[in-house]
Amino acid sequence: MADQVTLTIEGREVTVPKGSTILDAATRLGIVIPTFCWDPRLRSIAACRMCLVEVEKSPKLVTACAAPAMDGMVVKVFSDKAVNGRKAVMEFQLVNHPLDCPTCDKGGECELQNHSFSHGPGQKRTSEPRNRVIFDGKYVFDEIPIGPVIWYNSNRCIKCYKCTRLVKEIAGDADLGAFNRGYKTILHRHKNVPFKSEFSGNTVQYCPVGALVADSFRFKERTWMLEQTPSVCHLCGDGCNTALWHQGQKLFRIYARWNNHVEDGLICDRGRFGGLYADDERRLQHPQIRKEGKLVEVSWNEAIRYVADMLENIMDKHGGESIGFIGNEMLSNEEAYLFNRFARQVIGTNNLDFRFEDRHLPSKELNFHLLSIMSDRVPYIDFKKFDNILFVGADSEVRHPVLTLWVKRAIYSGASRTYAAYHRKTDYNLHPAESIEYFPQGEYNFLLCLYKALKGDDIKDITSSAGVRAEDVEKWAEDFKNGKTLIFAGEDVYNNPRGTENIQLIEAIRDLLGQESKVNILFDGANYIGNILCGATPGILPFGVDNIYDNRKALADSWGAEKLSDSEGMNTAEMLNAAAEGKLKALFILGADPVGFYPGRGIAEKAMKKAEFKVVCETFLTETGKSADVVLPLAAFPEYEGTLISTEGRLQSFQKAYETAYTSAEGWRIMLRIMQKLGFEEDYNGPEDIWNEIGDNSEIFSNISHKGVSFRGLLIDMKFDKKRETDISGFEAVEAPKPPPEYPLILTYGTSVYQKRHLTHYAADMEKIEPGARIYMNTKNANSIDIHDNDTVRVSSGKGSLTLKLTTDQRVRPGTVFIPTNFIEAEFNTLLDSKADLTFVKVEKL
Amino acid sequence: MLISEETRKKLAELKDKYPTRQASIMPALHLVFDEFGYLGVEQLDEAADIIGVSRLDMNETASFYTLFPKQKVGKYLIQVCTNLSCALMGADNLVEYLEEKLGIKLGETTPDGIFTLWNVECLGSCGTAPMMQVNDEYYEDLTREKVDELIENWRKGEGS
Amino acid sequence: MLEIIKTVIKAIPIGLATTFKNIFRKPTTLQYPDVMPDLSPRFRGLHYLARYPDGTERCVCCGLCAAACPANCIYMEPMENEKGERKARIYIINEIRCIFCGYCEEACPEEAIFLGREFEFCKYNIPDFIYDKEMLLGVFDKIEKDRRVREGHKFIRNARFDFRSPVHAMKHPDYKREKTE
Repeated sequence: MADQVTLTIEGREVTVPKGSTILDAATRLGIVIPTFCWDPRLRSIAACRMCLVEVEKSPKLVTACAAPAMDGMVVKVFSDKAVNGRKAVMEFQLVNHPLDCPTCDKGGECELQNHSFSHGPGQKRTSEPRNRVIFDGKYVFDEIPIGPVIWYNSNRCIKCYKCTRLVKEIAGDADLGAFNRGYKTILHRHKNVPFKSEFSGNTVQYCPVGALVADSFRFKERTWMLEQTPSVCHLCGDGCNTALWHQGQKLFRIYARWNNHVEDGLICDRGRFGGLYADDERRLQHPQIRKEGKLVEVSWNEAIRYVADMLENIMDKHGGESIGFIGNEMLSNEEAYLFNRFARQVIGTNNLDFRFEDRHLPSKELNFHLLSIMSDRVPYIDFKKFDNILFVGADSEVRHPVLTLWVKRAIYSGASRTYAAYHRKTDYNLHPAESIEYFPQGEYNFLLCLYKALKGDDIKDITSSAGVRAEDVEKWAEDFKNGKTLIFAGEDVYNNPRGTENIQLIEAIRDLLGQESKVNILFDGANYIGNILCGATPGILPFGVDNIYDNRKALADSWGAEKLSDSEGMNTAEMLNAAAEGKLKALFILGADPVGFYPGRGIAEKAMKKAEFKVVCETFLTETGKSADVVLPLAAFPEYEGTLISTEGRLQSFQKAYETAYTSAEGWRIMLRIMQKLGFEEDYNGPEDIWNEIGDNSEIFSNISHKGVSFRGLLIDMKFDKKRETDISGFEAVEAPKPPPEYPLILTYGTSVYQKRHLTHYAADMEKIEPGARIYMNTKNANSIDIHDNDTVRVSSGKGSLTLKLTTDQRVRPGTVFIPTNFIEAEFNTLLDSKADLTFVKVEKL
Repeated sequence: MLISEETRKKLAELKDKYPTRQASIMPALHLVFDEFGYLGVEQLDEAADIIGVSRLDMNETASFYTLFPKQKVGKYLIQVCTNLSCALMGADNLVEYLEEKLGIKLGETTPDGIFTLWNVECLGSCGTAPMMQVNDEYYEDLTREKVDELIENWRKGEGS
Repeated sequence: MLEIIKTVIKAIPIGLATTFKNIFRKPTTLQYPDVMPDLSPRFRGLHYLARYPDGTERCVCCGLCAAACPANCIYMEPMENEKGERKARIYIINEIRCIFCGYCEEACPEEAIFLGREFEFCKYNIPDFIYDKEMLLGVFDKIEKDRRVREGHKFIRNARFDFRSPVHAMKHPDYKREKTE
């Protein structure tokens, strides 16, 4: 075969595809060649020389990681020459390496230790003192904090450049580089640029020595004392596989578990450092009941009895329909299913929802539409098969860091070009990407422009309504006509007043681009799809069944319930409005914080005040919890097990690392105990029982056991009909938003790249990376009203005002400001009007 | 805006001259060096923005080349070779003598801004060791008398 | 019957012979509190944590002693001191659980933990046997004090003895050369 080569390694023949290296071939034979600088995700640079092997007819030893395998090559890995060569390299590596293994945090998992043990000379021949790089002499071991959460020790560094390559080539951030040369080489950040790459934590995990150490793990514990538990990151929808390193009930660090199909060993700092919030001492420790206006600690029995009694009272007085259930998108499938059974069967209401961070929530029809599109989705590893990748309405880098990493890698390998349309500029720094910034909530107009441009219509008169330039859109349309296109429809496309139309337009665009093109929907939240499929929305019963009479009847029969509620049911926005009007009497809130995060703080606060009885289950005491009648401590994610469905549609299970801390309890256990007090007769021993029940009753999850999904996860087939008739001929552009003169700027808000709601706020590292809330503004806007970086400003809208520090940012579209929502003490949502689509603000210098 | 208009124009021309942007870093370094006589972080950052590479790449590359000074240097940049051949012929004594003579340490500049003393690796003049390079000139087979004379001359040249 | 009597009469002098043989030997029993036992040179008693000559503790809390410990009786938590060095914040040995195997001593890369010759540390309460860092350093200090009292002793194998005694090592003429190397 022309594209195959056959070579002999250690007397064994192996055939590999052309272009593979000797190392690849050896790996195929199971021969281990030691390496430091080689990484499957990076290009070989042969910097460390550790992989030297002998090749016949070659005068010198060659590096296995960089030398291509050739036909008829005879490679000797364990000949005296090769072994001595590697021994010499090892000796060189160790000439100046300090002997501080006892104090080094990499000790025990250090590649240098291992290779030195198995390949090194075992003895030093020089008697000169070791070379030392001294930065400022402040610390005995010459360590410097290179970034907010990372320490660098140049003496330990063996200059494999893995860290700089990971940050530059994959993450595309110009943060970390190699300075000087020869023995003076140090890895450092640029003098004036902080090392704040979202993927900086990976440099610590993949550093072969202890040169880069995470602040949160520095001088904490020896690695061999820790246990590892496989888990899945909960902090965004990408479903990264993580390993929790813990000892007893203490979580020390979170590492990537390296699933080639999901995160490929690279997780973002939000998951790596932010996930350590589970270990914080500010967690809720005991159930609390409001007695005489104050929250008082009580026993679990008392709390559960109290909740059950109160709910029963309200059910008797006002009926089940007067109780609302608000969950969150991090609920596991099992929790979501039980949540749904609690609401629909035990209480008898359809008022349940798991989304609370957006006001324009997709309707039942739109959800079905999204799921039907997701039935034909593209998994991460296939992104590079597309020539063009288009993001619409997706804050891709922020909400889906790891998915974007796959896109970045597709760009870097030269396979794809990327186009991003959002109301902020998306730039992948070192990776080229084209960006169009439209008006906030201008997805509809932009998509209409793009659709018409693709059809060849004149779009000159409608581009102004989207706030984009006609030639940009036309250029994109021209580009998309060549090759296959993958369209990502982000959260802002469907969480939008015109969500349905947007999705129809996207489908129309896909149809115009041809059968090869695909659409992926992006879901923020660890288990968005799972929550819908397990019935945590009002309109969709478990397993993706429409909430109509026949289905309800069948479900009631399978549950052994008499009858399920026939009402339409309310979503979060409607529930909060109803509660504020006094129509809803009780709220059961599971891990959600509507007061802190619902866009429109006024209405959420009013709802909490008006409702007679509020139960909040939370890990930390939130704004909502402070006004609740009962607060129940919820277990953090290392403390229970379950399954999640990522935005890729991959079903994955996470394991329990240790028992629940303090007296907190898992969500399913709390719900089950309340349900049993209210007369629910079934019992579950754990999530596995619940999962079995889900599997028995559903078509999608049948024949999938809890253990079956354990390590690699599996892409589920959602089996929703793929064709939906859409008619978009009558679509007209809507008017562009016009800020009133007194409030000239449009407010946009969203999560920060390092944060997930308020949770990561409790991780010590995140506080160092992002110490407080800020407002981001375009440099042009800022200069026009004479304010500068780090000034304190007052932002005010018709509803309220905030005092924040300002950061000027080129990426924010002129005419808009951006506030990250994650800082609860900033109370960003006081600015928002719960009625109007857009909020206009003004910014003044204080 | 440290870089002059003229250099800016030349840098902008470099931008798309090569297949990759990275390739234009070296000529850009020369341009900036010609204008300032050294490469400071501010100048490099500005040049990086003009040619469209990351500031980090620019600084990294500049730091690799020890022949580009990174701070302002004196009028006479004395670079003494301290590599093997020169060291055997007494380069260390030469450095000591120069330090004493100029009243500065290695890597420093005299307060009047005339001399800067550096030690460098091999300059390829091993046959005539010990030697030093002052600006672009080689001075070889150095003795104490020779050094005295040279420094005297430069001092005089500065005075007149 | 006669046979039995014969056997008994024969056995009595045989038994008494052993008694008389040993009756004049020096007794092996030591009058312990008054007479201290002669401990073997390799005797392993109560642990101590050594200090550097300047008084700082040698232990860097690397955890190797805890990893080597077969009885799992060592617990430690590290911290960073003001100089940026790694030191033990908590270092606990449960002396009741300890089997005095000396593996911790073998494992220690910093020559910080040793098993001394002290064996008289009986207590009435079990919790008192849990020795923390200060107590273990205190044991070392006491040993050093005793040693200073006994000073004037000439050691034949100075080098060997220095290994165990940092304070003595400081006074040794060879000390400086080793340190500056």
